[in-house]
This record gives sequence, structure tokens and C-alpha cells, in this order.
Amino acid sequence: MDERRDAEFRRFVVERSERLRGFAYLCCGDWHRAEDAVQSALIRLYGAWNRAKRASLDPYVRKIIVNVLIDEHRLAWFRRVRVGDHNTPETPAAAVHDHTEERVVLVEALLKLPQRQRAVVVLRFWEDQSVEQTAEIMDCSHGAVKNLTMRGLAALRGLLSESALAELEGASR
Amino acid sequence: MTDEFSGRVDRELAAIRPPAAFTAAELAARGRRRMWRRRSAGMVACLLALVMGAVFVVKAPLWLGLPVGGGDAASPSTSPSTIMPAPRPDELNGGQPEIVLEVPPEGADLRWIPYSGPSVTAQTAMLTQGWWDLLGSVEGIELSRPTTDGGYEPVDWWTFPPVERRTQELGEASSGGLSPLGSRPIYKQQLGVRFEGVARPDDVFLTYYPRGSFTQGGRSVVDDPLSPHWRYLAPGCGEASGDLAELNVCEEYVAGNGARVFEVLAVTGEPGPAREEVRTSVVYTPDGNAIVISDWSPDSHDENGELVVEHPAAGFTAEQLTSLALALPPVIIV
Repeated sequence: MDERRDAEFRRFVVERSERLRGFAYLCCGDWHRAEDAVQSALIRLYGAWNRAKRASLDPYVRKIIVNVLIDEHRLAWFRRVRVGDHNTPETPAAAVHDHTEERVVLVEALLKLPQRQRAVVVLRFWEDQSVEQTAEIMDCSHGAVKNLTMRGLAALRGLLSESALAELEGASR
Repeated sequence: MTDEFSGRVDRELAAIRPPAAFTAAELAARGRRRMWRRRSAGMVACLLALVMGAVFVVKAPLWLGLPVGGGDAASPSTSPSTIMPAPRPDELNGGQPEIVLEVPPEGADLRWIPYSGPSVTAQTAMLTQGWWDLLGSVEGIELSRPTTDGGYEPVDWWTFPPVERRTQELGEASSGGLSPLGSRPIYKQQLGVRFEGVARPDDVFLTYYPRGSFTQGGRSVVDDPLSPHWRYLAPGCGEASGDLAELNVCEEYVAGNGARVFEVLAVTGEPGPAREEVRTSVVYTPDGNAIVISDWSPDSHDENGELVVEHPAAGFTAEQLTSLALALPPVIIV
């Protein structure tokens, strides 16, 4: 039982942890906090593995991450729950490609948005969540999600250059 | 939209992402330890409860001055049961502690953050009944709740969303080293209310706040004219400019029963199809609590944030919201 749970859990972590770290980073703008939040969420997920599996793992763990970040916000101190200073992560090879020449424009603009607008835009357009799912995670109404989306996108357009906007033309029309 | 946006963000994140400092095996080990600790704590708690229960059964007759060795007074069949009655209005102030918040540092950017999940209590159940009865007397509306496919479905008494108790904690909106400054319980419900002649429902929020946890009047946070500053329950009156011009119109008066009323009409967008309104009424009740009802008009945008429909001229007015709030029952918020 435990062995099967371990194997399933480890496979999930290997496959999904990079995406989850990215999600947490886009929510909080700090890789250390993002990593702490993902670790906390995954450790909690382990304890609720069977229950979460019956529902859906991805939405479940995303909700835990948002809650962990809110808890962190609430406590206003950032406890480090790092397992250790290991530099041998079990991550998919594609996640460690060198992309240093890539200009970080959109992420920088995203991180300048107010927190709730940013979270909604990330959930809607990066995590591809529906309005309903986003409202559930954000604990707000459908109308508020759509309002925050509109305002977040409008603010993004103001923050991005003409060329970046042109590149994202499909996204901004 | 999603593909373009998502692909670009993926590429940019890949350029700046540091290596992870954990492995799946380590997380599984920590998860196992956490489960073990929780189970151990649960077993210790059960054991303690059993021991305390046994001690009580043996000692209680002595403490209470009752004869030891059975008898009617010790019989379970004659044990009294206590059911808490609903509070009378004159009991409210005595039954509810005032929320006292520390004074935050100057310039701190604070927000109320959802802390504990929803629960239903005797007080919220009473509110649910009162709110249902009250809305049933309003003509020309259909009550609904959100569905999983993004739409709404009509509700009856059995599916009417209950008013729920939640707690909020005051925390800093950006990263920093501030300690928590306080928390408060609230009673809250969200409902869809569709008005005749309008395709989509308004979102209507009912919230009760405990005395001492707010300042009367309205004020908005700096970057969001629709969101109240943490001390207040409604946005304030100000101006904004640019494509997302926002206008808040406020009115204050004293109602017939002595309750103070603060009403806000917040309008987002320039006049035209993208114009949306949020109407809010705050009633500061004589017991020191506050009832806030806000009505968000159906948004004019689809799920991608694009403009799709014209703004409907319907919904509760601020005066109607105030009338509803004044007719709601008083409760203890704990």
C-alpha cells in the first residue's frame, strides 16, 4: 500500500514539480518562497494522496499551493522547509535546458501586476483554468475573476512594449 | 490566447528557473514522517481523553457532593442536556467580544486574508433562513448559484447556498516581516440574483462583520478603487483616470431605527458597453456589528476578458440593498 503510494507520488513529483514551481513563482515572484510553497504543498499532498487521487491531483495541489502562499502571507514570516541543499533534482531533462538568451519580458510584466490580478491572469492563461476553477481557487465570484482578468490584461498591455505586444498579438486581441 | 501566452511564459521561466532543491524521494520521506506525527498526536489525544473521562466518572460524584455508588443523580438517563437558545437582541453586546486590532506600522500595506474554511453554525443557519425569507418577498428576481460549467442554475430552499462562518486574518499584502495583527470571524454568503429581462445574474454578497473590527465610512486601497482599505468595509470615493476610469459615489445617513448607513456606487470603465457597476450598502447596526450587501452587475466580458455584451440596467439599487440589510436579524458573531 505504502510502496504503491510512494511510487505514484514520486512519479507525480517528477512529472509535475517544475510546472508547480513555475506556478508558485508567478504567484509570489520569489523562487525561494515558491520552492517552499511547492514543498509544503507536496508534503501535504502525500498525506492526502488517496483522497486527492479520487478527485484530481493537479487542481488539488494547485489549491494547496495557493493556500500555502496565503498562509505564508498570513504568518508573514517565511520559514524555510527545505529538505536539504541537494543539487541533484529528479526533474525532467527538458526543464534544465539553457535559455539564458531568452528575454524575460512577459514574466517581468506579470510580476508588476497587483497580486490578485496576476494570480487570475496566471491561472486563466498559463494554467488554462476555467473561470469557475479560478473563482474556486481565489475564493471569489465569477464576476470578480472576469473583472480581474480584464484589468490584468489591460495593465499587461500597458506594461509591454509594442514589439512584445505584437509578438503576443493573438493574446491581446 | 492561452497558447501564445503560455508558450512565451514557459520560455521565459525556463531562462530564469534555478534548479530545484528537493527530490521526490525526500518529499515522500517527509510526507511519511508528517503522517506518522499526525497519527501519533491523534492517538495521544484519544488516550488523554479516555483517561480524563475515566477520572471524571470516578471523581465527579465527589466533586459535586453526590452520593457515590450509583443512584438516580448519576444515571445517564437523567443527565441534563443543554441547548443554546438563539440570542435576544439585548444579549448581543454581552455575548460577543469586541475585536481589538493592534495598530499597524505606518505605511504598511495590509489586507484581510481568508484563514479558515467555511462552517455552518446555529447563528448562520438563522441568518440563512432570514435571508431566504427576505429574498422571497422581492418580486422580479430569480435566485441562482454558480455551476461547474461557468453558468448558473436556479435554487430552491434545499439548494439555497447557506450563510457560512469564516475567519479572516490581517496580513501584509507584499512580502515582509510583519507579525499577524489580528483576526475576525465573518458570516458570508454569495448568491446569483437574476433580474427580469436580463440574461445573466448579478453576484450578490451578504457579509456580517463583528464590532471593533472596522472603521465606519469608506476608503479604497491605493491600487484598487473597488477594494476597501483594510480598516473599512466599503471602498471610498475617489477618482481614477485612463482607460479603466473608475468612479465611486458615496452617501451617508442615519436610518429610521438609528442605524448608520453608508452606500457606495462604484462604476468601472468609461460610459459605454464596458461599463460595470458595484453597488454596496453598509449598515452599522446598533449592536456594533455591520451588515454589508454588495451587488456586482453581470460583467460585460467573456472568459477571455473580451467585451461581448452590453451592460444591463438592472440589479438592486443601493437603497434596496439598505432596506434588505435593515430587515435582516441581529446575530452574535463569534
